[in-house]
Amino acid sequence: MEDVKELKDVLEKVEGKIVAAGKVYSAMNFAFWLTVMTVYYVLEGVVNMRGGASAVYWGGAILIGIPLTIRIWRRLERLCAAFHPGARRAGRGTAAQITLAWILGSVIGFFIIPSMTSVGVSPDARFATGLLSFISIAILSQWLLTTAGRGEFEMIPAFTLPALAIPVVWNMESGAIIWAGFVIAAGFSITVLWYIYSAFKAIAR
Amino acid sequence: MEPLRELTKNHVLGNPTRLAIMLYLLPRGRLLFKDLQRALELTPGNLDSHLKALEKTGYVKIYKVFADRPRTAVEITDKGAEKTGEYLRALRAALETV
Repeated sequence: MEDVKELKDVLEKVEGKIVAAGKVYSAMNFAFWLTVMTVYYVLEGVVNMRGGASAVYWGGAILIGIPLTIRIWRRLERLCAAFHPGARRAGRGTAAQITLAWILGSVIGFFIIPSMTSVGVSPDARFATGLLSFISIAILSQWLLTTAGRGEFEMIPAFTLPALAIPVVWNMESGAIIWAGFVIAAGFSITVLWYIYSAFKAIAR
Repeated sequence: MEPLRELTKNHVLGNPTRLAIMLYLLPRGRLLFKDLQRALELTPGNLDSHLKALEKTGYVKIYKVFADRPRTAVEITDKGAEKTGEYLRALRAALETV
């Protein structure tokens, strides 16, 4: 009987560690984009990041970020296959839907909203509203597509905080874009922190 | 004790070394043969024979990669991940009956 109890404990610990690994991978994805965002702000204080430099920076970040996201996605998929067999079979179909959600978010956030003169009290407010809408739409869609039915709530701050900040930036005369960037960074930070907390909780269970 | 004995006897993962290989690979995805060997403290021959059994069932893929020199890499497959999870659940259920 002692052996059986010991085996049960070992199994539980192993499962906890594997679940924790999944949480850390998810946190890494958000931590990467958080780093990209904050390094951009740091560089802006040193060099002029307007126009071409900004495009090169974000283009480079996307080029590095996409393969990283794919690798993380593959690992998460396998962990999901092992522990959530019912909620799975995401595969390429879901990956394509997530890509579409990001494209849709960027079209709404960077083209449609900034072109609407009725949005915001200034051009700065308009662009900030677009940026926050882009992040909210894209991450909300990603959350719905990847975690539906599995109750993974860690991603919620990453899209809720930017969505809640939209009415605030709407009325900002100046500094709206910078503030919106900090709101996104705060949302991502809370998500990373929540994932790490969940990872420790899974290990300690 | 019977369901547990039945499960461990008839499943490819009933062997503790093979189960350890799969559980080590599951969160990591892919590893070099030498790293897996070092982590699990197995001889190359022993690891190789277990990996061949796992490859035969489609639980892992084994192929050559170029690291510092040509090396053997071991990667868990989707089927392998699914079956490992399934086995863990079955093992838990069997333990409940003891």
